Amino acid sequence: MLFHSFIFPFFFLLVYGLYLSMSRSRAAQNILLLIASYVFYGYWDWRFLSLLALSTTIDFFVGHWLHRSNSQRRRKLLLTLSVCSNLAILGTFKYFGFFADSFAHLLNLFGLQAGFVSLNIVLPIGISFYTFQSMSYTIDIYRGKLTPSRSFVNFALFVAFFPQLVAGPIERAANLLPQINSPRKITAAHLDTGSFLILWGYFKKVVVADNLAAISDQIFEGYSQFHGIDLVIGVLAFSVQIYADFSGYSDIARGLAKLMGFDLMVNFKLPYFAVSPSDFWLRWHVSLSTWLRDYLYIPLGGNRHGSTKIYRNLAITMLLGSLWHGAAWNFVLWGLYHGVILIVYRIWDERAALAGSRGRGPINVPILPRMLLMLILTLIGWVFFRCASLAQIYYVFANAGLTLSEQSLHFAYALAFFTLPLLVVQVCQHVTRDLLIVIKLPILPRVVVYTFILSWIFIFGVRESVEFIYFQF
Amino acid sequence: MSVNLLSSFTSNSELGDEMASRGKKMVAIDLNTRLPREHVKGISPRGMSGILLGTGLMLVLTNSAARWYLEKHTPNLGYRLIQSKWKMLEDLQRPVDWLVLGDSSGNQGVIPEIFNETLGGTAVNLCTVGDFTALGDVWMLERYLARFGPPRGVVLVHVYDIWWRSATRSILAQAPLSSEELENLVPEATRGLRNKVLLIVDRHVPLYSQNVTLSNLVRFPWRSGPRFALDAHGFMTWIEALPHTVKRDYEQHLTHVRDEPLFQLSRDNRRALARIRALAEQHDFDVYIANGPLFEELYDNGEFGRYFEQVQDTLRAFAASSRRVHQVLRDPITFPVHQMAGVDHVIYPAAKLYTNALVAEIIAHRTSGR
Repeated sequence: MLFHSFIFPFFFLLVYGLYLSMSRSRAAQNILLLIASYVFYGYWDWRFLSLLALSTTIDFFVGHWLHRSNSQRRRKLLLTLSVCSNLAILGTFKYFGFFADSFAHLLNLFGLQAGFVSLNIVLPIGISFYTFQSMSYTIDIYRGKLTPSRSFVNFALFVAFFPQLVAGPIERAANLLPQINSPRKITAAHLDTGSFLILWGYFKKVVVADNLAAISDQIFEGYSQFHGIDLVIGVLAFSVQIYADFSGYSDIARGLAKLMGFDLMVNFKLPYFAVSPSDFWLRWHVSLSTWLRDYLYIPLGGNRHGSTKIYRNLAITMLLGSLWHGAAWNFVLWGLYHGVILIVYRIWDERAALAGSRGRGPINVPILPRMLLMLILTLIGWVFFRCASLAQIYYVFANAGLTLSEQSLHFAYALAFFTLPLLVVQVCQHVTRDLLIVIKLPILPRVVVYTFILSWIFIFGVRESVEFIYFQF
Repeated sequence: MSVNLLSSFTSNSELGDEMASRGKKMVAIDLNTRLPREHVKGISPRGMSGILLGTGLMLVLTNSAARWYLEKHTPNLGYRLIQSKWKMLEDLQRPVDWLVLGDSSGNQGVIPEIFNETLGGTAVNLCTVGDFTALGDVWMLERYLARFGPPRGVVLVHVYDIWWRSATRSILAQAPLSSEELENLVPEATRGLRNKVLLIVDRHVPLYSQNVTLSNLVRFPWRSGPRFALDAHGFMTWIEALPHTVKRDYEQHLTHVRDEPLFQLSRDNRRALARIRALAEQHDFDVYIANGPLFEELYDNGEFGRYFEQVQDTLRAFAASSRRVHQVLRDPITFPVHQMAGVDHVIYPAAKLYTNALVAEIIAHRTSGR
């Protein structure tokens, strides 16, 4: 079930009505939400509920055993059990085919034939999200930062909470579990903010992302027919599409959760206004980047033990982070690329700092050129992300330019048309540093803005279901 | 004093320690202070109500404005045609002798003036679009009969491939049909509560139901609407041949007869024809069912021919069921590509030929007493 599918509004209205009617009993609400979450996930494919249940059950019991155990060796073993079981699920369903095919290809290069059986494994949606979320729970218990949940139902709800189950944000137990364990008060602010997030999320998803998908898909899938400015427009269209698609879905998830009295973490903070790679990762898919920082980068050593180790840690983190996005070499290239620019910027920072930098280093460059440079670097990265092959990546870089075609004006107009409303709101959000600036408007302008958003959803919303990009993760 | 960016992978203290080890003081600029946040603001129930009601009201006004505009100036050719023909019917001041009903093949294929000159009397072309099916003919005929009584004759001009179709809901929504009229014939598209609700949405919520038209209007306001010229008798003159369109249509029609080689008269058309027969017998007027003009290469295709024969057998059987119903132009009048704007749409010179042929067959039927 997708948020923008025909059935979802009816599903949510039913669940929400029941949820409100059970406001006196938090336990009953949690059971309802758990059942609803399993129905939501099972609607896509009921068979994969078993994986969700398996991951949940393992981590619930591991959490308790970890908390009770005093033996460091036993605690390490238990943590290993949790991490390995989650990664095994992830590895089997997401990466088996990739590594098997890559290994077979490698053997082929040496003239060896690999008799692998192709398993044609279906990728369960949301698997990368809920396994990471579940792992963070046991890791935090191991570190002594969290006590385990007493209630299996509550923990299962933490893992499977349907607004964020299939596409994040990847929540931390320290944030979400207390909300599940406590009575929720739905305030007017929750309803107000939640409604706005849902509306804005749908606008980004079905108006901006889905319409720009038509352009980017046409250009990337028929790339050899395009050159010059058309390829540049294709990259721009994809850049806006992936942001609007993912952040739109996150907004809808957070909005739905807010209507029920839950506060999920902000997952996007105007990433295209970033001034450096590290700034970008503070703004893009924040829940994943902070997860990688806390559970991968810092355990690897973080910023300790000298520059070489720092660069190594950055590269490993970005590489594994890229693999999280998908089991394909273009994602690996994208991750490595981001690792390289992170390292380059860090070297630049360090040298400027050591040189006592007036006039050197990125900090002294005005903000707008820094933003522009970072935007260009991000766009380059998206080429790796979107292209299906190395040949396509090469083609795009070799043929992108300023030459026009008959379709260039049409593409450019469509890109500008659907990006402009998003850009206007984002500039306002950036200038005020307030992602909720729209709800600060007086009533009449706000009514006008909401009417505009709804009208555009009705008129321009793409009706047939365009698959949410991040669902492949 | 050195200034440095704070990395997302670096804590203040870690970087500070490193800088200190190199004998440098550090002023860290915490990027977090530049990041946007969500500053939640309280709102009163009254404020929320105001926003909800205000937005709802404004949305209704926007929809009403869109509806008003589309009723007057819709760029959608098919919808405009339906609206224009229904208006023409309602604006008739005097009865006519010949009522020409049917789909778009008749709309630009039948010239009423030729009826006037050859058969005498007056004629009006109220042909609309194929997706209305013969149900559209029935409703128009009933409206006419209610006001003026029976005409001398009714001519139904349809392309072969409307007979398997059901009337589409979006098309039905364009005609000013009463609920009684719909209940009398119950088109497939309006059966069931869901379809009834969607019909209401199609009629009254163009913001949703005519989103394609509106999106084109908003995105490309400078584009003129389709060339649309109806003369006083309802004939739409089309001057420009469209060979590319003809070829494209040709492929689509062939694909259809290959995919669905067995013809079946749709429920909507079956009910419509039965009603037309009943009206003709009740009011004593003749009905002439004619095949619309056709692209000659399509008609010459063997696979098409087999399908076409099945359609003709059905129409022949229907015509044989009543002395008031007659099949004319059983072998369609075909034209080459340079005289067509679609596989079943002719340009003006071909329309003259077609109408003359149609009239000649009607005359032949009337004089032979068939």
